[in-house]
Amino acid sequence: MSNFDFENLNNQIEQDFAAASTSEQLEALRIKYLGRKGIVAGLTSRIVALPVEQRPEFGRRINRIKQKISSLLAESQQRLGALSSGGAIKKAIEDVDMTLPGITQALGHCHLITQTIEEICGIFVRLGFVVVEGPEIESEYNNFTALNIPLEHPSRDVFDTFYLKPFHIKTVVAKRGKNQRLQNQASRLLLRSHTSPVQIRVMRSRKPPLAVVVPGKVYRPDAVDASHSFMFHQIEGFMVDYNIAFSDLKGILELFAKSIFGEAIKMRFRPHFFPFTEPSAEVDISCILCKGKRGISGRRIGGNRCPVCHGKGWLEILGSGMIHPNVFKQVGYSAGRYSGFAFGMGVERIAMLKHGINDIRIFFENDLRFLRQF
Amino acid sequence: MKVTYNWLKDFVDITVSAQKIAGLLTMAGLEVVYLEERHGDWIFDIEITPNRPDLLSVIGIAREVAAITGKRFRLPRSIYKQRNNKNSSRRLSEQLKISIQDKTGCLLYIARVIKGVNVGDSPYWLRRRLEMLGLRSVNNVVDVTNYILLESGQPLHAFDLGRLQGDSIVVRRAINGEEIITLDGQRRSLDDQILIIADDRKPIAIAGIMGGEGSEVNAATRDILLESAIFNPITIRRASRTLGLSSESSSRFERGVDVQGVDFYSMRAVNLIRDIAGGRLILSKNTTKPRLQKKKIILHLGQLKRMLGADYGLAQTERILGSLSFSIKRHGNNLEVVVPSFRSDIKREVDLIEEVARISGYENIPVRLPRIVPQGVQEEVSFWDKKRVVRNILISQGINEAITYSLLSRDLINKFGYSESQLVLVDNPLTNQQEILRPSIIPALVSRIEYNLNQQQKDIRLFEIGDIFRRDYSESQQEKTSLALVYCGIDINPLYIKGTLELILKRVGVKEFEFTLCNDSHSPYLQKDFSLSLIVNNRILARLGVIKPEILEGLDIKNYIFAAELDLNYLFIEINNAQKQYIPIPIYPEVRRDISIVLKKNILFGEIVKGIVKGRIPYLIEIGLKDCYSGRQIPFGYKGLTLFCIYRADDHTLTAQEIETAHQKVLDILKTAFSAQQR
Repeated sequence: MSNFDFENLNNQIEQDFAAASTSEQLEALRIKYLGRKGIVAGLTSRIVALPVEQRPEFGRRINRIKQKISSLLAESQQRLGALSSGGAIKKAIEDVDMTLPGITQALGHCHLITQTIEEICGIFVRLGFVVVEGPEIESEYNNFTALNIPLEHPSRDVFDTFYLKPFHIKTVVAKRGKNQRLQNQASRLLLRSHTSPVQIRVMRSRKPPLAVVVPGKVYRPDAVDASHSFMFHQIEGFMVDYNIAFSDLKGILELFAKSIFGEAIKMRFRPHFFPFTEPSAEVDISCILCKGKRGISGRRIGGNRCPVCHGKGWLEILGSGMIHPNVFKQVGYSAGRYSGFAFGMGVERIAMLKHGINDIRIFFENDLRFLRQF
Repeated sequence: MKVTYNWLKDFVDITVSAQKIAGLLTMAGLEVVYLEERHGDWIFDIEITPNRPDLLSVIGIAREVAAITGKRFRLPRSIYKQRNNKNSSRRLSEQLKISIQDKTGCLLYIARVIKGVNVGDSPYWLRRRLEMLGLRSVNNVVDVTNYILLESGQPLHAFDLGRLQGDSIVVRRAINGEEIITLDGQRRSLDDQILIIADDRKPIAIAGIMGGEGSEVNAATRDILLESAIFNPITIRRASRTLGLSSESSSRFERGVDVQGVDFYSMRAVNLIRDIAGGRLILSKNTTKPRLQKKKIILHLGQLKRMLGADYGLAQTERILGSLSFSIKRHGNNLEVVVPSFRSDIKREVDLIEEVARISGYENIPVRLPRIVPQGVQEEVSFWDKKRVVRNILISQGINEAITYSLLSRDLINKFGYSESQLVLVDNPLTNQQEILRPSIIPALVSRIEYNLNQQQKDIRLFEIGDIFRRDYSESQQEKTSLALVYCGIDINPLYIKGTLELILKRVGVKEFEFTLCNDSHSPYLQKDFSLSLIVNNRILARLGVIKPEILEGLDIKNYIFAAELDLNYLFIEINNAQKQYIPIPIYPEVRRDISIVLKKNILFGEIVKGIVKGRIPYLIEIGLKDCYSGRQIPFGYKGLTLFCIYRADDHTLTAQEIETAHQKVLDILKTAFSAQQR
C-alpha cells in the first residue's frame, strides 16, 4: 500500500493540465482530482489502512499532490482566461440557465381599493384638486341637515345610517317640549353614510376657490351579499368659485371617465335627484364589456344579456350636480355669491368594473392570493 | 312606477315607438328600468325619485312625455266631464258627520256616498290595465279606486257603508292597544302615533295605509262611502314604519299628494263606479279645503346661463316651462313663473333651471373645463400624501396592505381584552357582527391571518392604515388614525416588526427614538415582557410585541403572531418637524473590527450598547450586532455575540495604533462591565 506510485500520478497530472484547453475541461479535471470522489480523496481514505509509522509520510505526499493540482488549476485558469477578455466574469455566469424564472425581492402590494383611490384622486390632483379627508364619526347635522336632507324626509331612506349609542351627557340645556326630540336627534352621532359631510367641513373652514377630492370609508346598514357591503369607500369631489357651471362639471367628469376607462368610452349625464345638488345628474358610461352594443337604453333584452350591464348598455358610475343653494346657506356663504359642483362615486364599484370583480366581499376578505394580484 | 304605452296615450298623442319613449324618459330623469311587451302593449317600469310624487301616476308621466315629445297633454272629455247630481238634501247630509280630531294629521277629507251599486267582476279592459301594472282585480268598485290611484296618484278608499256603525266618520289617533284586522287579514295592534279612520265604535281603516277587513266592499255590498283625502306625510310615514306595512296608498301619501286633485279624482271615481257598477251619488261631504298659496318664482335668464354654462333663449325657456304646465309672464329678461300645485318639488329658481336643463336635455349642455385656481397646501391636505409615504415603505418590505371592516363583533373585541367602557357602540347594528367600532385594527387583522392560515398561506405579513375609535380619547373626539402591522411566519420573530418600525422612522427622518419595555395596558392583547413601547419626544408613538397566546388559542391559531400599532396622527406631527440635514460624506476611510464574545444569557444587547456609548470611545462611530448565537460551543446559560465596531476620524486617516487603543477600550468595557469572555 505504501508504495503507491506518486511519480506516475505526478506525470499524469502534468499531462492532463497541459492538454486542457477549455474551462469545461479544467472543471472536469478539478472534479477528477479534487472532487468528493476524486483521486486525492481516494488516496486520503487509504491512510487509515496504513501502519501508523507510514501515515505521516503518506499524508505529506498527498498534500504535495494537492498543492500541485491547486497551482496547476490556478495557472491554467489564468492561461485560459487570458484567451478572451472578461473571462473571469464569463466564468461566473456561464452556468446560468437563462430560461430559468427571474429572481426578485418580494414586494408587498397596496390594497386594490387604495390603488383605485390613488388612481382616481391622482387624476383630479393633476387638474389642481387637493385631497382632504374627514372623520368617519359624524354629526347628524353634517351628514344630513347641512346637506339639505331634512329630518323625516323620504330622501333619508336612501341614506340609511348606523347611529352610535350616546356615550356622554350633553351639558347643553335642551329646549323643553316638542322641540326636544328633534333637538336630540339633531345632535346624535352617526357613522357617515357618504363622504359629502366633508364638503360641509371644508366649506365651513375655507372660502372659495375650492377644488377638493375626498376619499374615505362610508357605512350603511345593508345586508352583506355579492353587491352590498355595510362598509365601503367613496370619493367625493367638489369645486366652488364665482362662476362654476354645469358645463364645467361635464368637462371635468368627462376627462375623469376617459382617464379611468379609456378614450373610447361614451358618456351620458342623466337627470336625477339628490337633495344636496340641483340640477343633479347621474353619470353613465357605455358598458365596458359589450360597449353598449348589447342593449338599448332601458330595454330588457331577452336571453343573451350582457353580464356586466345586464342589457342596459350603460353603467352608472357616479352621482353629481350643482351644489344646492341651501348647502351654501348652511356653510355661511352669502346667497348667490358662489356656484359649484359636487360629485361622488363608489370606489369598490369602479374597481369591480375595471378589474372584472363580481363579489364586493373579496375586498374585505384580504386573501393574500387576492392582494398579490394587484 | 309602472305605466303602459296605451294608458299614456289616453292623455297624450304618442307618435314614436315605446323604445324611443323609454330612452327619452330615461334621459329626462325618469329612468326606465325595463320595458316589456305584453298583450300588444308595452309596460314601462320607471324609477321615480323621491322628490317627484306627481310622477307616481299615469297622468304625471303623461305630462312628462308631452313635454319631452313636444305634444300637448290633455285630460279626455270622459274624465273631465263632471256629473255631480246635486240631489243630496239637507236631511241626508245630516245623516253623516265627518269629524277630524287630528287636524295636522288629516288636511282634507272628502266623503261621497253612492247607494245601490252592483258589486261584481270588473270589465275586461279595467282588469287588464290593473293586471298589466301588477295589481290583482278584486271587484268592480275596489278596482275603480285602484285604477284612479294609478291614473292620478290620488289614493281612494271605498267602505261598505252598511257595515259602518253609527253616522260619523272620525279621523283620529288610535288609542294605545286598539286593534284592527286589515284587508290583508292581519290583526294589528295600534298606538297613539297612528292615525286611523273610525266609525262610532271602532277603527275602520289605518289612515292612508290600509282599510279594515270589517268594512271591506264585497259582493253583498249595496251602499258605499268613498274616501278621498290628504294625510300628513310624516304621520303616514311613521305609522307605516311602526306597523311594517306599506301600500300603494301609503307610498303616495308619504311623499305628498296634490291638494287640487282630491275632489276632482274622487268625482272621477264616482263617475266610473256609476258607469260600471251603477248606483246613485246621494251625498258629497268635505272638510274645508286648505288655502293654497300660489308659488311664484322669478327666473333670471342670466342665472340660467351662469348655472348651466349655456345660453337658453327666452322663447325656448318659456316653451319648456309651458310644456310642463307652468304659467309664465315675461318681465324683460326674466320670467315670472307660477308653479302648478302638483309640483311640490319646485321651490326656488334653481329648481326651474333644472327643469329647463332636463327637458332640453343634459346632452345639449356644452362641455368646458373650468379655470382652477391653485389652493395653498394645508395640514389636512397633506395627510393623504403622508399615508402614501408610509404605505410605500411598508410595501417595499414585502408587507401587504389589508382593509378590514371597522365594525366588529363584541365577541372578537372581548377576546382581545378591551373593556366595555372604552368602546364606541353602534345603536342599530344589522347583526351582532357589526356592534362595535374597532378600538384597534389588530383584532380584525389577526382574524385575517387566521383566514389566510386556513388557506394554506405562509409568511403572512399584513398592514392596515385606518381609523380606530375609543370613547376615552377626548370629549369631542373618538377617532384616531392608526397603522397596524401583524406578522406570522415560520422564520419570523418580534424583532422583524421592530425593524420595520425603525425603518419607517429613519426613512421619514425621525432620528431620536427609543424602545422601552411596555408595561401599560393600552394594548391589552400584547404579552407582557414581550412588548415594547416606541417613544419619540417622551411620548408613546407605537406599541409592539407578541399577541397573548391565550387569545390565539381562543381563535384556534397555532402560530405566534407579532403585532404593532402606531399612532399615525402623532407620527405625522413628527414628520412635519423632521427635516433631513446634509451630512458631509467622510473623506477619510473607516475601519471595521469585529469582536466575538461569550456572556451570560440575561445580559441585554441594548445594555451593552449603552455601556459602550457611555464609555465615549474615541473614533468609534458605530457599534452594532453582526451575529447572535447559542449552540454546542456555548456553555449553558450563556450566549455568543459577534459585535462590529466602526472607527473613523474626520480629520485624518486612523493609524493602527489609534485603532488598537480604541478597540482595546471596547474590550475592556465588555470584560469589566459585562463579564464577557472573548472567543
